[in-house]
Amino acid sequence: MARLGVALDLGTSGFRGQALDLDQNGMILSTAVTTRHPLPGANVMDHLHFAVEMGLHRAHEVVIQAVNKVIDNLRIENNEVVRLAVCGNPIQLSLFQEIEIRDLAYAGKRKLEALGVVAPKRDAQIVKARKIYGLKLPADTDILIPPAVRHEIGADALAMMIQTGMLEKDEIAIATDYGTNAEMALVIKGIVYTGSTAAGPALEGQHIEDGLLALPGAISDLDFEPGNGKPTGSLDTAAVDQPIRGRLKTYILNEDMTAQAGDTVDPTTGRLLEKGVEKAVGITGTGVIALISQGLEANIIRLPRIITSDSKIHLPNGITFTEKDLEEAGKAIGAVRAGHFALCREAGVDLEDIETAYMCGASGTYVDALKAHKIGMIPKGVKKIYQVGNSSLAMARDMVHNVDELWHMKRIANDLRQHHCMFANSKVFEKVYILELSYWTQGMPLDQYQKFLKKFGLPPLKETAGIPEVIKTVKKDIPELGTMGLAIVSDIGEQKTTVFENCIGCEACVEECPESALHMQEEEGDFSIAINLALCNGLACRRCEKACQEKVFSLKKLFTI
Amino acid sequence: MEKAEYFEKAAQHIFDVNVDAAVELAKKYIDEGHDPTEMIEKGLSEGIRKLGDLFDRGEVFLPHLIIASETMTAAVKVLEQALPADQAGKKLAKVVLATVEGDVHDIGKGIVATMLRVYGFEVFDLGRDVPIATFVEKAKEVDADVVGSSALMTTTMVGQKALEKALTEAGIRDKLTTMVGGAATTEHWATKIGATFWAENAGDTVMKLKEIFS
Repeated sequence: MARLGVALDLGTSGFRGQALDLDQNGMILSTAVTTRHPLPGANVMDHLHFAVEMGLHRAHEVVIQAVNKVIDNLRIENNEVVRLAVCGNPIQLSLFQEIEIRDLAYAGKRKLEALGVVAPKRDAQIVKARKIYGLKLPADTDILIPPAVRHEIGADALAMMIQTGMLEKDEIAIATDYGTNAEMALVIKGIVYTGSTAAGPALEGQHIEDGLLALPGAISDLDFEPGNGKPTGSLDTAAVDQPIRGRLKTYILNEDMTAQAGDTVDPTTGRLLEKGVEKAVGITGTGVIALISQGLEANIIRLPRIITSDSKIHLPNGITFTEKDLEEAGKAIGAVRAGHFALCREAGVDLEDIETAYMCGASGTYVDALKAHKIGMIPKGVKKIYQVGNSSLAMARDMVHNVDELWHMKRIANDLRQHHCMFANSKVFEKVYILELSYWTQGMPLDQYQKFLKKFGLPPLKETAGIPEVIKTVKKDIPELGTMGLAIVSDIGEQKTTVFENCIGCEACVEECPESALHMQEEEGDFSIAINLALCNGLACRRCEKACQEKVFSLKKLFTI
Repeated sequence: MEKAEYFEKAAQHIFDVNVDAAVELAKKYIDEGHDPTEMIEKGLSEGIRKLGDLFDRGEVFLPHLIIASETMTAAVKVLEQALPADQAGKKLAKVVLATVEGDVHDIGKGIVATMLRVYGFEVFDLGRDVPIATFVEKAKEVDADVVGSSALMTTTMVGQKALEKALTEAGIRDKLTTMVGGAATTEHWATKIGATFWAENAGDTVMKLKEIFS
């Protein structure tokens, strides 16, 4: 019998798994990825909310069902699996393990003390599969669980530091995972300064009117090509304030998640100038970053305004980017910038002292690094930018291949000379975020930005010259898919059906759901409603409940077994 | 110095966000035995009002407004020492404001507090991670007209619902305007829990409160 291992990355936006053959030096056999997270909602707070409201066990059950589906889709014999390693943030790992999560669900000390919550020690450990309720693997399989340094520095952050090798280099470097929750780590002389900012979902293409997660049909990059020179009939002096005329070329993700040429349009009208191969459905986070970067350069965006006749930038297929979208994205970019600034203050260095930047996660892999650099999402003075892909899955793979990696990780966690900056408590973060907010949403000029920095006793932003070198260590966020290839698991969601007494079958709830997560069935006059948990927006949405005229619908009841 | 000259100078110091000069001026004004209320209303408030107008037109930016509001608070503190407690400056309404228990995010709530002060409201900012009982106690103590709560996490939104209930049980909900805000909240949420209104941001809060109190 073969000895197989499974590496598992439990991410906030979805799960990724790989099967390895341990008898063949850890050769990758197959890969499976889910298109979303199985729990309702789009961020860790939604996942925690579900666990708090519905019970930890119920949340664990939903997570484990999805894990089982990922393993099934690896197309291996489950009874040959001797080892599984997980990696992810402490919230996902705690749900997987079914241990206390309330210390992660609330931020105030007072509340935690009132509830009598004791934070569990999230240490490196190996447990048997039988200890993980519901996991469909042999009872004796070793489950490797990596450590968290503290709840803000989880196994995912450790993976980021270890996989980039930044801890061993003698340089000032920063690693950032650009997501809904932007995690960042600044390393200087062997000391790590970490922080995490709720940048918001705009960087993932959500909360943008025509926004989309990184899925087929999503505009993932754009190039502005100036054409026709200056605006017609204008003098040179007037031209400074005019948008530059030109063509906007789009790149769109195809079925294999590779960017292909999309249509080229006139950004002020949307007029088609050149036909592309792929058809655009929406714009994703990396596209938004590229659009803002190029829009500023072409003077079509003059913060906080968009300088077109209808104040929108036009993309192919009637997709538009509005001033409201610009504001949402600006807030997210501002949060990342304020985070970088605050970390540097904690470490006693200037932003411009940072020599190397590592971009992690899927968006960090696919974004055009130079466009992101131009709008300040990467500190201005860096000489090198590395785009390193999904470090959590790579870490899990390393542990499956060699168990010593787990203990190596534990040693690093124990020895880590770390300093966590809670941005919510940081005066520097607060001040710089207010400046960023003014810059992005009010169009505050840079000289005023500098003036207020001085007034707050903070160092000015310095001019830097030169274009950094970009090194892509991987082409895709998962570089090698294995001999049996990739399976995409789209039916991750648990289906739950409930009959509601006195339901008249009007389908108001079904129509109201923004994610099409509900379906109505009729059987002999009884109406039952089915929900797909993974599609549902979570307990913070509840538009279905509001829509019910008869007041018989209950989302919690629908969630309950 | 003529009183009119005092007022003009005070307004200018607020506009220039010159704390030392504003405090100095306030002290001198009191020493000469003038009426502190008049100084607050015709001097300091005038300066902050002017800034508010420029802010609305996009000519002055948020950090300027925040520092000006801090300058004003410092000067008012000096002037109020010369006032009997019951004669403190006239305000549009008294607002008790805080981030709910379990939540420590309060940059946005701080901006709301600043803007409300600029527009003539008296704000009691209780900070963050604030228990429901503290909201209720403070509202009673200062005889508040408005209670506002902020929640940035979906797990802490329930605190806003509990607050509505606690205010009702304390028998003061009927005479209060309640408002909820924060990234996690929506208009629907406000309606559902029985809050008077939902505000999307600081500007929205000012607009909605001014419709009620003016």
